[in-house]
Amino acid sequence: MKRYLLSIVLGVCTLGILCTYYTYGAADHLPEYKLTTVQGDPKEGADLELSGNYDGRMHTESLVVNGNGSKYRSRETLRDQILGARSWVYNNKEMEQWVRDHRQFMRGKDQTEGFYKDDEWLVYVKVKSPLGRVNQKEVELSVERLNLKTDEVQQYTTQIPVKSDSSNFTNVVDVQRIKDQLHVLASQDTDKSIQYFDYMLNFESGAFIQGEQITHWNNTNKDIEFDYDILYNAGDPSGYAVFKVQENKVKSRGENSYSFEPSGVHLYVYSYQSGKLSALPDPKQILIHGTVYGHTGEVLNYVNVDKNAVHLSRYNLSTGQEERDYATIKATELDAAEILTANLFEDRVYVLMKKGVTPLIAALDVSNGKVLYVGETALEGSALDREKEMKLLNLYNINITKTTS
Amino acid sequence: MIEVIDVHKRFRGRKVLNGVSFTAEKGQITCLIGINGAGKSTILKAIMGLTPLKSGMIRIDDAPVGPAMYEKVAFVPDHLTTPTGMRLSEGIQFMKDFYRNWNDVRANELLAFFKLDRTERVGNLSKGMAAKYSLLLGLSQDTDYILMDEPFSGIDMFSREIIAEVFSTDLIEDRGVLLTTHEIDDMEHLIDQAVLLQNGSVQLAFDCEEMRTTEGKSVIDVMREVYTG
Amino acid sequence: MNRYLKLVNMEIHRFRYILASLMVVTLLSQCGSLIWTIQRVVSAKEKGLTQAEVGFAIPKFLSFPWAIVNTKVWFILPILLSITVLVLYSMIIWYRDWFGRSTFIYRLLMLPSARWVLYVSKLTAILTFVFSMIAFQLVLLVGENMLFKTIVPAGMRTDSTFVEASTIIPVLDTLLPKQFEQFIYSYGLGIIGVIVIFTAVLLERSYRRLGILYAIGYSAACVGVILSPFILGLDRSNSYWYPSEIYTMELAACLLISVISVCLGFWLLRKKITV
Repeated sequence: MKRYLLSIVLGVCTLGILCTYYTYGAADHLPEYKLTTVQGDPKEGADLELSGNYDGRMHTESLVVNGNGSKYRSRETLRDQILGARSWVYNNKEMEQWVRDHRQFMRGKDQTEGFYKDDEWLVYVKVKSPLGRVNQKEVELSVERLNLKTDEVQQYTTQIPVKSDSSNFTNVVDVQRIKDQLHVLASQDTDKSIQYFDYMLNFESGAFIQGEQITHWNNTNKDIEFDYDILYNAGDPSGYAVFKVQENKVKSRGENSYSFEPSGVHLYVYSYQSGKLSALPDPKQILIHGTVYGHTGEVLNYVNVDKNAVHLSRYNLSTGQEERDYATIKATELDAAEILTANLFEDRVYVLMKKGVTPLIAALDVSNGKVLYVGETALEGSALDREKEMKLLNLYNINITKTTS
Repeated sequence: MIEVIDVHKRFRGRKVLNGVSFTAEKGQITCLIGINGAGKSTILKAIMGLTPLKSGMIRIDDAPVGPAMYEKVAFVPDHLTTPTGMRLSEGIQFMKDFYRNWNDVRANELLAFFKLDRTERVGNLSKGMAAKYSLLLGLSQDTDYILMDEPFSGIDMFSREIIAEVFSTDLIEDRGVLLTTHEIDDMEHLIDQAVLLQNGSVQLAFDCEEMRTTEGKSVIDVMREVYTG
Repeated sequence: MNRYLKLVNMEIHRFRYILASLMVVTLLSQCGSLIWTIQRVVSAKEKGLTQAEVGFAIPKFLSFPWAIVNTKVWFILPILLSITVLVLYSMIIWYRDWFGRSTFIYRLLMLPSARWVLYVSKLTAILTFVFSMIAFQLVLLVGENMLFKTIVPAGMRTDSTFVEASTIIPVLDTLLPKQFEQFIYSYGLGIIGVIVIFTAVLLERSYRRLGILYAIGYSAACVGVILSPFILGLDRSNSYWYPSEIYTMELAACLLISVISVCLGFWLLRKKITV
């Protein structure tokens, strides 16, 4: 037996130490937080996640907190990393739902802007090889449509004319179906500016009907730069596209950097039906830091947040009428000391707040500002270090995640 | 009976064995004779399953080569096969651990007979001592057959005498022995069967006793005829 | 079973001095540099010197992970050395039986048990060495933590968890993942690596000169297969395959490589190996 002693000791010690480590030693003792309902319907909080950092360690630990507990980044395994890949695509609530319902059709489709869905059809449009070639006169659009009733998939490709510039990049930014026409809103990113075009295709055959340049933006002022953006329609297709153009005043221009500050926002609505682009009533005065916009169907909502209150305003896109501050919710009404940020998603406004050291989140009905849910981040386990551990927790973002249904 | 049947082997494009066939019987000493590079060692390795063959077959008591065979056939190569860091006693212990046919009493007898020091490290053995130690490991297995590769090569005269002495004991007599050599002198009187190899094939296989009585030729005479004539 | 354990025991026995040396080198390098790092800062603090005067950062409070991070090079080097030695030994564990004055491989191949037992016992031995080093590092960390507490006065230090120390530098984080599942992934891949090395060595030992080409080709193919699911574009959002499918493919690829490598290794030992 003696000659086996070394191996036995080595084996037993190694096994013992590793088992001990994974039974007791490997626990990281990071505090566990959980989102708990304070008032309202817990279902409203089920899709919510708050992300931020825990600063009680030498390295900052990033984490998300939701109704099930907290997930620290440092606890992720290889499996979590692989399954969580492309989260920017699959964490989108709509995309996630479609992937679940139409797994085969959704393969390789990653541009949320390229989708259109109504009761009958799920359509995906993309530009084949969106990278610009010099003096290109046409680009190829690929259209795939899934009949939701028969599960049939059809695909066609269509050549569309583009503005021939020294080089350009064409991207699909919105897709709408108006009766038997498919409208593909595309941006063309040239050397000088971005312009938007509405391409009409025959929905049945995919044949190209006509293309219109709908914006003619140009910038002559050297000290002002524009950011062009199209607001994603989170609601049912409505026949409207909303553009947000932000004006930035250039403060300094260095060799490799420049700084600017926002100086105004212009909103435009485009009606696919009439083909008209019109400016929404002067929105310049609503430019407050942290304004959040949300396009849902025929309504454009915007939310202004300050420390003490959330102000809800909206435009009716068909009439262009503005209802400013139709609802105001004070922090005190939500039992919070301070409001941090807000988010708009579909028909909800989510508000991140703080009360002392406790992060709170509220869900409001966007149509009337009614409080549907308030949740708070609670420390699970011993209450001894509560104050200290809550102080070390900094949550910054609201994520609306996958449906739990 | 060890049967080698039409064995072919190539190594780096050269035909090392080219249709070798012969048999070695139990209770007899069979000697593979050939100049260096004639393929003698390769045949022994092939019998022990230590090198693959291109074609042909090897059977031991009508069974193909396999793990069970190693309890039946012992192999004494012309060099050490025990790690140099081990003591002689550890090498013996290793054999005892793995072979059911290990005969510890005989190992101790041989240890004394060869005057080997069991606490010595294998790496420190002189060439003659190493050959004795290898022989000890081979002979202490109770096997039906024993293969020896050049048991006398490069060994001093006195060691040869001692090893030759072992050949005439009952340690050898009941077994089938297959050995190789390129210098026949010391062992001519020990051999029952001779197999002459040349260019990877058997030139002649004969019974030494019969050759002596019927044709009056010694093994060396036959060798001279085959290799030079 | 018995013969297998005896073979493992023998392999461990043959490597015991190198294993012990690796442990001693690790111990001396880590503890030595740790003591030096801590004492330098503690004495600076005691004398009330500032960062500008001493030329290195002086934190308000010292913690054990901080000490490890600041000992970095001498902490990591012995670990990297051990990894290198063990990877090399995965090959040498075979070659040492072929080369030198004594060719032990004759004896090993002539053992009256199936030859795959050799393969498995050598694999077990390598894994035992790896896990012994890991376990030793764990115990060493506990010891180093005690050392830290002895040297640094209570008023100058803050508490830390064990895991914080064992995951603070990337090498340790990889070797000692705090999730057991990740441990399986890390060492599963490691074991596959060793198996592939074994098979490559056996290819070379079976076919010699041509075998070197086979071995290189085989290893490259294995790396290719293991990486192939990722080449399908895990991070490319317009990839045809979903992440969950890529995960399954990766598991399948790993399983395939292990099974093929082990079977090929066994077959080579049984049919093709030459001494």
